[in-house]
Amino acid sequence: MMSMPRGFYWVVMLASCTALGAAAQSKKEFHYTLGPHAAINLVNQFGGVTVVPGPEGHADITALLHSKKIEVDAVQRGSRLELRTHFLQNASPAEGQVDYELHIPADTSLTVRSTSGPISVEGINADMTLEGDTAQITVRQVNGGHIHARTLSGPIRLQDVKHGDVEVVSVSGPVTLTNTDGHMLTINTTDGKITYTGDFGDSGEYVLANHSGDIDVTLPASASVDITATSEKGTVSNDFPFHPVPHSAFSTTQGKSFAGTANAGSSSVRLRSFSGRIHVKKQ
Amino acid sequence: MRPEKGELTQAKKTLVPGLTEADAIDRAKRGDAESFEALYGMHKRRVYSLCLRMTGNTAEAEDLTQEAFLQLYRKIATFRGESAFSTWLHRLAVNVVLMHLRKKGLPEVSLEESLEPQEDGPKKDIGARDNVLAGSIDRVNLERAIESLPPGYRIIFVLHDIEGYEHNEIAEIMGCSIGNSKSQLHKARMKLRDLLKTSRAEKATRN
Amino acid sequence: MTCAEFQAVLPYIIDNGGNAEQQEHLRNCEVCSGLVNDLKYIAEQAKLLVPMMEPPKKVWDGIKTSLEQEGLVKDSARGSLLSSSARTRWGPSNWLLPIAAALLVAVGLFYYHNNIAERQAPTEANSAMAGDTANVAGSSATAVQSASMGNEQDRQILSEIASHAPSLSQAYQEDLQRVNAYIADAQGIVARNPDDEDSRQALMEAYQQKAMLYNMAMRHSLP
Repeated sequence: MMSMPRGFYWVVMLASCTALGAAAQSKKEFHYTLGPHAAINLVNQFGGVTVVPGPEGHADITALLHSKKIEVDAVQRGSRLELRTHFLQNASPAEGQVDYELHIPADTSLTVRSTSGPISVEGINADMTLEGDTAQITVRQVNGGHIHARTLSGPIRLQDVKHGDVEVVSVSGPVTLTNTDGHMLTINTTDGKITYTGDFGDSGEYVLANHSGDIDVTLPASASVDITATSEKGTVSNDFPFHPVPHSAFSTTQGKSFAGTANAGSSSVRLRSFSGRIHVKKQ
Repeated sequence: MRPEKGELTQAKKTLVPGLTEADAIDRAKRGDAESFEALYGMHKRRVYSLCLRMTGNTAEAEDLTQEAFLQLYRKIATFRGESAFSTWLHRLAVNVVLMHLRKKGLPEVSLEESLEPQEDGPKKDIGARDNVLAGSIDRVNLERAIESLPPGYRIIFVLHDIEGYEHNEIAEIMGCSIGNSKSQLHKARMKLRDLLKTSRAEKATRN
Repeated sequence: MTCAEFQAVLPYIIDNGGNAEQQEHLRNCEVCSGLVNDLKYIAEQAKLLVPMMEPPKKVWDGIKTSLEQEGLVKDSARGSLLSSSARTRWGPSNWLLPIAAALLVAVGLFYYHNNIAERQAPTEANSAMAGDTANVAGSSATAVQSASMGNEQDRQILSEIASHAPSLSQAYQEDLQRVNAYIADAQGIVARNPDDEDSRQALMEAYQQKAMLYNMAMRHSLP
């Protein structure tokens, strides 16, 4: 008998492994009718969650399961949808991975918990609570929603998030906000770096605080802010032409703290670090 | 979960003259003391009764009621009104109780149905016709019977038949399958049936 | 269909009635129909049980005390949970006391259910705080006491993570150290500047970090 060429052998092996790998994965789809202002609660240990706007009145969900050791429990109760990854037996993070993709009405409020993430939400104009231990959390183009984002070490990015309330808490994950404003925005990290680029909107209250991370703020000349910055053991530097305003309750110390206003000073901005470096500059 | 029995809308509930539940919630979010007390007054019985029925222990129920309301007050700022306040509080209280029971060592809901009669399980009622219960149960006897259920049966019976949770909700809460929830509920009801019939027979004997 | 066969599937069909064969058996069998009627009757009576039990007054007293100590209530023109004696204690140098209590209560759920002796400790600590007057040294002693309890809780948290989510052990250990350093530094600032609102706010933020970490850790220990 003729022996197979070696190249053909490896192609067969690769195809077999791919087929075996593909066989371990399975895809599940869920389709629901959702009324206005519905709510979705998703709990996933390992794997990504991506949420984008879909057709009004419908939720289309795809779950890619990476092994047979897990299943997805999905149940609808009225206008609330509950999705949960359920372990059938002990599984490693790779075996326990489920990747979700949700196409939902833009006014659907969300609660998403994923240990490792990533969690990505775009174009959803509703309240959301996004939480993950090491998950990377990304929120883009949200208008008017209340956003709560919490991680231990996962990075958090908000971009084009407007006119809502934002609360971000992370121990060591870096937090990056671009073109984000709202009525109240609080960022609290232990040593995660906080980076804000934008104009702080109009008449909002902003608190960016951490223990030992850096805080970098870049704002345009048109920003209307009343700003204070203080670092107990770190340094504070400013390249923005603020108007110095005496704050009776706030003491200014060169290199440690400053206060000032720009334009009408309509948004209140408080930058606070224990030992990190705070730097404010003009865009 | 079905709405609370006889529930009014939030806007109509009046706790003290001029203070509706909706107002009290708004004020409580801002730390108003009177509103905290008003909300407690409105919901204390339901929360305490739930805790007492699920634990069967007065001291634990008192502690858990306290913890449930404290959690409520800490989290009230996050209540956005997507569901009825009472539903939200109720769910919070159930979670508090279940966390407590798990720390104590919640009786595991078995993954496999046992076909053998369990030591404290209800007798299988096969073949023998018996006097029906209909019309003979009073609230006191039923409460006593529920109290004497084994903890695993009692939890699922309270959640389903008294508090109105659906099996899929119970399955999620308890980490079991829907089938298991139905099976355990059936066993709880069978056990209650036995207890109530025994109680009725004893009463008849005394009379 | 026999009674045994019917009753074996009864848990799963009692709500929807079952298939044609099962319904046929139910129509023709007095034993099984009597059983089903009894079980449905029990369920219906349970629905009618109203929440009649009233908690004793001490439950509200306990809630009231915790609310005051956590600083969740503000004095209201219409009435206040704060007694006049509590108001006199609510001085700037006593901010350490309620803040330390806030951490104890925030992590108390995990702590609370583990064993009776540890459950009593926060109450003892709160009693010590309630009896204390404007005394930073006393507050420091309380902070040390709460720190030692915090260390025990930290160990328990890390133990739970190691047990339920071992891949996260390293991350939790490192983040816990970071957060504890944050709290320690923030406590120091407040001790030096007890009248400074920003300092107190920084300490609350530090505690918020730890509460979040505990909250996330506890989720892993739930089934």
